[in-house]
Amino acid sequence: MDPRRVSRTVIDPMVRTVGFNAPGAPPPPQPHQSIQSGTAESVAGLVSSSPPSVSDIDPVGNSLSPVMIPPPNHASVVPLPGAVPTQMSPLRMNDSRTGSYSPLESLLETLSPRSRVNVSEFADETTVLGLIGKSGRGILEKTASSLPVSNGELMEAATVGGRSLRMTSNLTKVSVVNMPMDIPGIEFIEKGKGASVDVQKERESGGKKLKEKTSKAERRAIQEAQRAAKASAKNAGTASKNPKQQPKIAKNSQKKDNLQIPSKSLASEKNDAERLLEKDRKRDGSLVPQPRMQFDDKHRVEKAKRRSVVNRCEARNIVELFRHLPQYVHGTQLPELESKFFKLDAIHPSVYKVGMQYLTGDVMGGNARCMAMLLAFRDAIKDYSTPSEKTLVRDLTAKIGSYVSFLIECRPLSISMGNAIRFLKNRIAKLPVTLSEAEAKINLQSDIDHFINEKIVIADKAIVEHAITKISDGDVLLTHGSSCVVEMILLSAFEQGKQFRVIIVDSRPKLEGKMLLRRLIAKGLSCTYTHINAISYIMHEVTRVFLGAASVLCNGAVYSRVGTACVAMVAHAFRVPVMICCEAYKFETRVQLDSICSNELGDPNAISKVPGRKDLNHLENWSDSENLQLLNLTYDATPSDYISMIITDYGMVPPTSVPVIVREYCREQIWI
Amino acid sequence: KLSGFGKIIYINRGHFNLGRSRTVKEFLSAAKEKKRSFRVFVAEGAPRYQGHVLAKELVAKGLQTTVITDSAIFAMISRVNMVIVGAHAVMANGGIIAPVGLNMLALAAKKHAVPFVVLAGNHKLCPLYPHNPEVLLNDQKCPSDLIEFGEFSDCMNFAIGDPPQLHVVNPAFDYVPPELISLFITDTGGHNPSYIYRLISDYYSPEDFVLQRNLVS
Repeated sequence: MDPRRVSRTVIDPMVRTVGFNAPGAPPPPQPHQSIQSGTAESVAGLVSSSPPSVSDIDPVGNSLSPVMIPPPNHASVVPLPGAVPTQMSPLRMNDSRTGSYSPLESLLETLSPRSRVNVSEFADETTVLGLIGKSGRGILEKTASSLPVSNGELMEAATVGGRSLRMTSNLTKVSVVNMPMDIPGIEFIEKGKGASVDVQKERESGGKKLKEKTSKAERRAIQEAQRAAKASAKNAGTASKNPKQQPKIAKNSQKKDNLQIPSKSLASEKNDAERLLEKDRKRDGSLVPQPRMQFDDKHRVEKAKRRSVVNRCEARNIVELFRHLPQYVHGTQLPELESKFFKLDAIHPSVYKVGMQYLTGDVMGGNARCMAMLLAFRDAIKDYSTPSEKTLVRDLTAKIGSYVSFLIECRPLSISMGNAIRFLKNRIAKLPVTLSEAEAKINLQSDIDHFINEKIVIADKAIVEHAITKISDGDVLLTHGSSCVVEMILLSAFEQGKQFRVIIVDSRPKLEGKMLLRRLIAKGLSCTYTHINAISYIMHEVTRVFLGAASVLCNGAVYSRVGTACVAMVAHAFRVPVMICCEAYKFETRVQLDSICSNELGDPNAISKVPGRKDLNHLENWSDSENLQLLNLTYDATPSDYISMIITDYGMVPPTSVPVIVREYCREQIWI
Repeated sequence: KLSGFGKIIYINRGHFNLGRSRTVKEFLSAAKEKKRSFRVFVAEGAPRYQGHVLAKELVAKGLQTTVITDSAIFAMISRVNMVIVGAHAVMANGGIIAPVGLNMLALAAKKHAVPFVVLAGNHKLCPLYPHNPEVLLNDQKCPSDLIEFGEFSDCMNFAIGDPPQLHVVNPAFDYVPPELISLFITDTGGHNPSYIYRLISDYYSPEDFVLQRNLVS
C-alpha cells in the first residue's frame, strides 16, 4: 500500500513527456544542477537528482494552485503564480529556463508549509471522493464539478444503473488515478524538495513520516470502522447500497485515505466502512452502478457471499468466457426470498412485489420493468417517514439504495432502470433543505410521475408518430421478439389504415414473439411467424425492419435482446433498412464492442428444456457432465454499421448521433 | 475417411457447429484423438434441436461443449476461431444447401473473419447450379414445430378469409453462397469453393452437366 508507487506509474509518463515535448526540458535541469552544485556536493548527486528535479517541476506545479486542479490526463500542470519551473508546457519551460533557480529556491523553502496545506486540500478531495461511496449522485456531482476529469462522464458514470456502470469503471478509475497524481505531488514535494540531494533526503523522510503517521492512525481507524460495520451488517438484514466503486478503486481510495490527515479520518472512516460493506455485497450486485464486481475473484466472491441477503448457490458448469458475470441460479431464490420477507421489514411491500415479478419473469421488457420499479418507489416514498436524527435526503437515498440492491438480487438492473434510479437519486439530492418532509415527499412523487409521463409515455407517442411516417402501403415489416414500442407502432399504423404485413421473428428461449403475435392477431393484422434461423429465407420479402432496444450505447451499438444482432446483420446483407425504436432515457454513456464484456446470463435450464416437446430431452442431465455447459445470454450488442436509423422521442437520428443526444439533452433534463 | 483434416490446426478455443452432422461429429472426435485441445460451441438448431443431440454426443467423447441458442450466434462468434458445419448438398458453384440458419452463421463468420469450413462427403456433390435456391431447393416443414395449432386457434379471426391471417414459415434449408465459404473438406481433401465444379466430372457423367444439343437423328 504504497501510494508513492502507485503514483509513480502515473507520473512517469508525465515526466517523460516533459523531456520530449518541452524543448526547454534539458536546460531546466541545468539551473537545477547549478543550484545543486552550488548547494550540494557531488556530481553524482547531480546526476541522480536530475530526474527528480525534472519531477520537481511536476509536483511543484501540482502543489501550486490548490484552487485550480490540473486536468488529470494533462501532463502540464498549472504553474505557481510567479514561480517558474512548474510546468510541462514548452512555454513555461522556456520561462523556467530563464528565471529558474531563484523562484525555485524560494519555492522550495515555502514548500514545507505549502505541502501541508496541499495535503489538506487534496485530503478534501479525497474525502469527497470517499464520500462517493457513501451517498449518491448529489455528492458525486459536487466532486465531479471540482474534478476536472470529464465531469459529465464522471457524473454519468456514477449511476446506480446496471450495465451503464462499466464506463464508470474506466472513468472513475481515471479520476481516481488522477487523484493520486495530485497526491504524489505532495510526496514529490516532500521527496524532491530540495535541489540538493540532502534536502531531498530530509524532506523525503519528513514527508514519509507525515504519511506514515497518518496512515497508521488512519489504518487503525479504518480497521475499527470495519469491525463495527461488520457487526452492524450482521444485525441489519440489508446494508445500504450505494454507488460503488470497483474494488481496485476502493483500494486506491483507501490508499489515498491513508494520506489524509487524521482529522479527516472520521468522515472517511464511515466511508471506508460503507465502501467495504458495499464491496462485500457486490457479489450479488454485479451490474451495479460502478464497475461491476469481477466474479472471477474468488476472494471477493466469498466475502460478498457472506453478506448477501439471498443465498446464491455456486453455479455449476460455468462457461469460462462469462466468468466475470454473475451466474444464474434461479430455483433457490424464490422460497428464500419469501421466507426472508418478514425479516426484511426494511423492504417496502410494493418493492418486494416488483422484485418477485422480476424474478419470475412476469414483468419483462425495459419500459415495463422501469415503470414497475418507479411506481413501487413512489409507493415507498409515500409511506416513508424520516427517522429521528436523520436527514431526509441521506436516509431516503440510503433506503432507495437498499431497495435497489434488493431488486438487483432478484434480477440484474436494466439500463432503463439504472437511469431512472439515477434520476430519482438526483432529485432527492436536490431537494431544497427548507422543505418539510411532507412537501418533499409530494415533490418526489410528482417527480416520479413526471418522469414516467415524459420519458416513457409521451416519448413512446413521439416515437410512434415518427415511425409511422416510415411505413407505407404494401410494406412488409419485420420485427424480432416483442418490443412494446414496436407493437405500438404497428398497431397505430394499422389503425391509420395502412396496408402492410408483419413478420415476427422469434427466438429461444424466451419465445416472446408468440405473445406479440397473439396481440397483433387479436387486433386483426396479418402476420407471419418464423424462428430466427429462417431469417435468411424470409428476408427477401421484407421491406423494413423495426427493432426495439434495451439501450443504445454511445458508440452507436444497440444493446438489445439476444438475436437482434443476427436480424440486423442479415437485414443489412439484404439491404433492408433497420430502424431501432428507443426512448432517449435509455441511452447510456457506456460503449461496448461485443456482447461478452457485459451481459446478463439467464437460466441455463431454459435451453435444455423445450416447452411442448417432451421428446427432446437429450440435455436433461446437463449439469452432471462437467464437459457440458449451457449458455443462455439475454442481451447482445448490435454494431452500429447495421443500423440505418434510430427513432427516438427527439427525432430520427443516425446511430452516430447518440452521444450528441446524451450530451445535450440528458444534461438538460438534469438527471445527471 | 476424411483425409484432409489433419492439416487443420486447432487452437484451444471454440468452434461452432450448427445442427448436427455425423461428419462433423466424426471429424471432431478424430481431432480429439489427436490430442488437440479445443472447445466447441454448438448452436442448438431450432426447431429440430439437432444441436442438443450433437452436444450430447460430443460430451460423451470428452469434448468441452457449450450449447447456445441460435440467437446468440452473433454474440459468440467473435470468440470463435473456426466454424465447422455439415452440408446437405454441395452445388456446382461451390454454394451449399445447408440446414436452416447457416446462412446467418456464414454471414456472421464473414463479418468477423472467422473461417467457415464445410464438411461434406463427395457423394453430396450436385451438378445443379442454384437458381433461386431458397424457393426451388428448399423444403417447408410442418409449422407445428413452431406453433401448435391449438395455441392460436382462439385468437384467430376466421371471418377474415383469404389471405389467412397467420402464416407460419418453417423452411428446412438455407443456401450459403460460395463467397461466404472458406473451405470444403471432402473425402479427397480440402478444396476451395471455386474448385468444386471440377469435381463434378469425377462423379457425374458428362450428360448431366454439359449442355449440348440433343442430336435429332
